[in-house]
Amino acid sequence: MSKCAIPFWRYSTMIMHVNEEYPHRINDFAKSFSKNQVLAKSWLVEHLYMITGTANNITILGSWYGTVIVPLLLNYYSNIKTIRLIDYDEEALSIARFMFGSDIVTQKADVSFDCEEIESDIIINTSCEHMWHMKDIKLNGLCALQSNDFLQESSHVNCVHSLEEFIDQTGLQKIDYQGEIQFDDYHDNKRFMLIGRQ
Amino acid sequence: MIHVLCSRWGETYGPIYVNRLFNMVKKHLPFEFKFHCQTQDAQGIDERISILPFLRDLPESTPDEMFVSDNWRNNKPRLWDRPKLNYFKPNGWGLDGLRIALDLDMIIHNDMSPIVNMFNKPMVGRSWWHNRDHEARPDWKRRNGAYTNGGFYIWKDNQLENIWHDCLKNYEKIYHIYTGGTDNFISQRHLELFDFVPSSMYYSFNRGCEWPHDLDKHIIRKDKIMCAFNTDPGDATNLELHDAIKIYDEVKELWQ
Repeated sequence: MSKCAIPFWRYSTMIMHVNEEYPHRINDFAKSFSKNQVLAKSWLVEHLYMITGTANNITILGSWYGTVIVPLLLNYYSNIKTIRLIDYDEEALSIARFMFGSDIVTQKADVSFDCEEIESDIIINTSCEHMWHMKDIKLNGLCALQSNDFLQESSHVNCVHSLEEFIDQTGLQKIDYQGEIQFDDYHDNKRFMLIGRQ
Repeated sequence: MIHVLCSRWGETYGPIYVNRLFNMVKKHLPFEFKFHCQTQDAQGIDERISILPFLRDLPESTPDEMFVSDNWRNNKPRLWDRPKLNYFKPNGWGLDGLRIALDLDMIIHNDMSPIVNMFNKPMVGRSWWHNRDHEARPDWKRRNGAYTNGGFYIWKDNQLENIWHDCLKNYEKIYHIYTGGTDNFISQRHLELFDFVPSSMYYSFNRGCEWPHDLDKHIIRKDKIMCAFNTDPGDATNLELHDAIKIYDEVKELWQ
């Protein structure tokens, strides 16, 4: 079992914990490691690692539980000192702390209203469609940002329709990577990603 | 003196709705009051009603400005009822003291004094009819879901000025993010300012009164005070007030 690449037991523990302590979140938690989530986060970390293979600290905006992205980052970046999760959802952050312990620090904040400047080697936001334009936050670090054109979802209040529109919305000036993939298996929508600096 | 406020724009609710609301307040609010309507079209409105202009402190907040802006979602301007935010301007229109704000599609059918007499802190209608299990789910908050029903507000002096200052500072973000309307905005950013009008006094014609046991639709609950005619997009059974008065004699009789 020590050679098992996927820590199934951790997810077993987490599902039991969420079901016991936060039963109203069990579906939401399960969705956080859906195929679609794993695809999107893998796409991000694989390309990010090709651009920079080292980082002392990483900040994740609108992190949700960090279910997929935190293990991926820990796997790729062996020397990380801090992974900071920022989200307005204190329960999600509490679950993240239970899941990842000292591998993370958390900060409760509404990215749209409470964040003016972020300083970090790497700044990740995989949910730009949920919040206000990233160009209005001073992002000091290499940014890896995702959004989509899935307007059908009512919580997606700030979708973009193209990479050009996404570049404008994020204020990235130096682009190291830009790309798009299908949003999911069921809809003819796109997910966009930019890696670069403001 | 209580200042009672309402707003009228667009064509769906003509001046008769302002006049009928005034009549219902006159019948059921046994206190000295002045009735005001924020509108740019005074034609047909009872002369006893004071006409207030749309304030212009918040950019793109008048109906004309809102409708010509290009920031729409789901066939509506984002934060489509933003003119109601003007209610919260400290001493807006030179008014102070106790204020009540009502939507035009409300029916008041009993004495309002129990609400006024219990006033201690600002109060707003609560969507008691919502499934509380659904409200507790994280996707409710992620969708900026509302807990309140802003068909009725009561507050005093500048108790709600924090809402106004938030709007002045963050109007662009607030318009853009709270696409559902002011109930969503208030629920997600300023809920702590309010108590709720009890379910013994407030209900919805289309959604019922209180989850989970009192959810029968299209019923006038005679023991309560106010009835909201809020509708949900996509629910064909929902009736707006102008439809309900054509179908239900009881509603038509109360809306006088």
